Amino acid sequence: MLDPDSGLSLTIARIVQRLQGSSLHSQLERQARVSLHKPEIKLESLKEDIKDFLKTSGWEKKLQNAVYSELNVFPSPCHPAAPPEHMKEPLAYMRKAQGSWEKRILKSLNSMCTELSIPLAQKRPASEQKELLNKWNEMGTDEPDLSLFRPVYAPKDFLEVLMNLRNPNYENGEQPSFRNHLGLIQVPLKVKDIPELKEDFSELGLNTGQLGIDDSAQVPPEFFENEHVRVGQKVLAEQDSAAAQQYVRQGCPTALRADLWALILNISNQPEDILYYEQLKSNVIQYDLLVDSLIYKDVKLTASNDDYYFVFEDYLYQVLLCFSRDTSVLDHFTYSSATPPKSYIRGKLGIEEYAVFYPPNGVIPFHGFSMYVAPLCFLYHEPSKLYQIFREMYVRFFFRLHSISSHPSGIVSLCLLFETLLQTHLPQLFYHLREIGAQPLRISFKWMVRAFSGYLATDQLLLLWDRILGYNSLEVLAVLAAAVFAFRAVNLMEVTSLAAAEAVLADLSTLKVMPLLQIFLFATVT
Amino acid sequence: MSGAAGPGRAPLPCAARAAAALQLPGGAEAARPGVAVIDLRFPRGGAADVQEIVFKNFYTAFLSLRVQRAGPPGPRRWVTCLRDHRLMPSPHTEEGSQDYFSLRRHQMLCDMEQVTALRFILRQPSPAWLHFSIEELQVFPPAQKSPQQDFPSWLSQLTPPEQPASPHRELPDPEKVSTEVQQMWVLTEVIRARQAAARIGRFDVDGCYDVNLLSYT
Repeated sequence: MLDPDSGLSLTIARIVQRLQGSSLHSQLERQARVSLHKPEIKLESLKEDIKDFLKTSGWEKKLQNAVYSELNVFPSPCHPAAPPEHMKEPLAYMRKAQGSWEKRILKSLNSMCTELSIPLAQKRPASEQKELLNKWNEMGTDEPDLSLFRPVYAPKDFLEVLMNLRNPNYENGEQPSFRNHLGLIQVPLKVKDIPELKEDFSELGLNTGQLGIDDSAQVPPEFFENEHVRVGQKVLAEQDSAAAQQYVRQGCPTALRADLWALILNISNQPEDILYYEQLKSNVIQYDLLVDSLIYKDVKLTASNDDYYFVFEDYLYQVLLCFSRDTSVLDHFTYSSATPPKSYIRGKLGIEEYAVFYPPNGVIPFHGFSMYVAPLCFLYHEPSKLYQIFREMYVRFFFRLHSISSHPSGIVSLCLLFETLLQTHLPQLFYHLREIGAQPLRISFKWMVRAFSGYLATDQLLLLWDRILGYNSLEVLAVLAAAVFAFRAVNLMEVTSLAAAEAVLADLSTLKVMPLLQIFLFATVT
Repeated sequence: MSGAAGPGRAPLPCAARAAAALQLPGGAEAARPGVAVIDLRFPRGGAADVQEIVFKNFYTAFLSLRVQRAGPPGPRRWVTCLRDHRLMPSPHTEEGSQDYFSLRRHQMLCDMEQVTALRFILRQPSPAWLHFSIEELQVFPPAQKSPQQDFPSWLSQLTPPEQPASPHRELPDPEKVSTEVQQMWVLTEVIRARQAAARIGRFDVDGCYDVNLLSYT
């Protein structure tokens, strides 16, 4: 491993390189230059005086927030000898599995293309462009014929791939032994047990106030809620990302949530960000992508049918269509195990100068993808800010839910964590479900892949996503899934088939997330 | 970030024998003892100073390192310089199993001068893995001082010497001012020389984005 000194200097060098071309850098330079006119800046102590000025005017805090954001998003640097694919995914067999899975998706998309005789991308004729521009705010009223389109894949297809994931160097013998896991996932990744989770999620403990528990009607607000809101307002006034991330671990007050999440994700909606969004919008108008039809279909099938989210249908199109054309998303592929699909301009097959990524952001949406955006519509009403928040959430968290990797927040680790927690703490339930052919992961997989969006009530979902942001990890999804099974254990012990088990767990909309998590982690007698 | 050699760092040529598993004397069955040894010698019996050893792990949990040094003629002793260095925090699980590692001189228990042979003793106590080894083994000598730098180092060391308080309080000391300004100029030049990493955001080629099918390669 890297020793601490060289690791630190590599991290510093990488952050400096990433921040150098950014708008924050030019703003800091401009501020420093403007400050030269001020009387307190003296030539003899130029460097120190400018540094002090930046500190008092709040610019140093912005820089701190930007550095903190970089540290959170990018993993720690690899060993210099490691090739770039090692940073994406250190285990060779997982890289291979991800590559084959991607190839399957490409084949599926290509065959849909050839069947329907629609090109993957083409320029829109001028009349169509004008029409779309007029209809931009009400694309939901469109009813295009999408019957021939089908989603490229659904979460259950992905689960089949994960079930067949094997390490060729692992002893996967036929005889049942300690090496064969009883669940569906058979790769020996390291997952945390309850004592470790208790330590990591210590702010969810019984002695700490939580929004979602201690703000209920029976608890007088003087005990916790009023003070918590006051602290939240102070954190917002300080504009400190790290403090905000620590604060939301106990939940966000509804009024402050939008600003706190923007602070944690370091989104400030500057004029250049709005301009960037407008540029993406013009790309949507100019070019027509096949992926757009997939997005339309997905929104119509999922969000439009949901009681809570159907009102936001137009917003979803405005965000997702622009998302497909955003090349800055390509940056996240340096630390994701996935690779963006490649193609060539028509007629120039194989010529590298005409190689492009398709879609421009490299992400092919699957069934349910629009549910990542839907809950955010409750918080942000301005399209460019909503867009940036979603994009940042995607490149920090959501991409891990649909790619094969060994990362502790990757979907494979989450599945294994869920199965291990259930097996360890509810062994009778686990055994019973296995015997009746209802492997628990078959039911909980779809919850975790969508980060519970569309399954929980929205206020509960936002409380859950508060913790995802606060702990910068998706492990809380696996813990919640296990906690839900624990909650309904009595009913589940009586079922005799997979369908009946699904029925018991079909409706999660009445569940309260925080008490479930707290009881499962801190109050279950083992 | 491919390849480990930076300026002035080339790995030493050496011949590594494949990992040999420990065999018990008289043992006939193919047992998996969980211990393997890799021997490394420099060509033509030469000796070298070792600064750093870089390798890629493949499911080895613990590593011990012993060296033989050039010295007075006679039976050469093996000296342990690393004892049970942990590569995988949890030998039954995947953490650290395929990572790259560096062993540096300051981590060693003994001197690494004039080394003639290295013996890597690999241990993997978990029976879950079929094979274990270390790969891409590279040994580096101490680096030579690099003569090149970004800009002349004397420019960055322009701190004005301590001077008594200037008798003219209205005007700043001209020496000090010119030093500071020179430093600022050099820094601006360096910044300008580095390219900004800003993206343009275009995804089409010359205004055209007609794409037919995805490519599999």
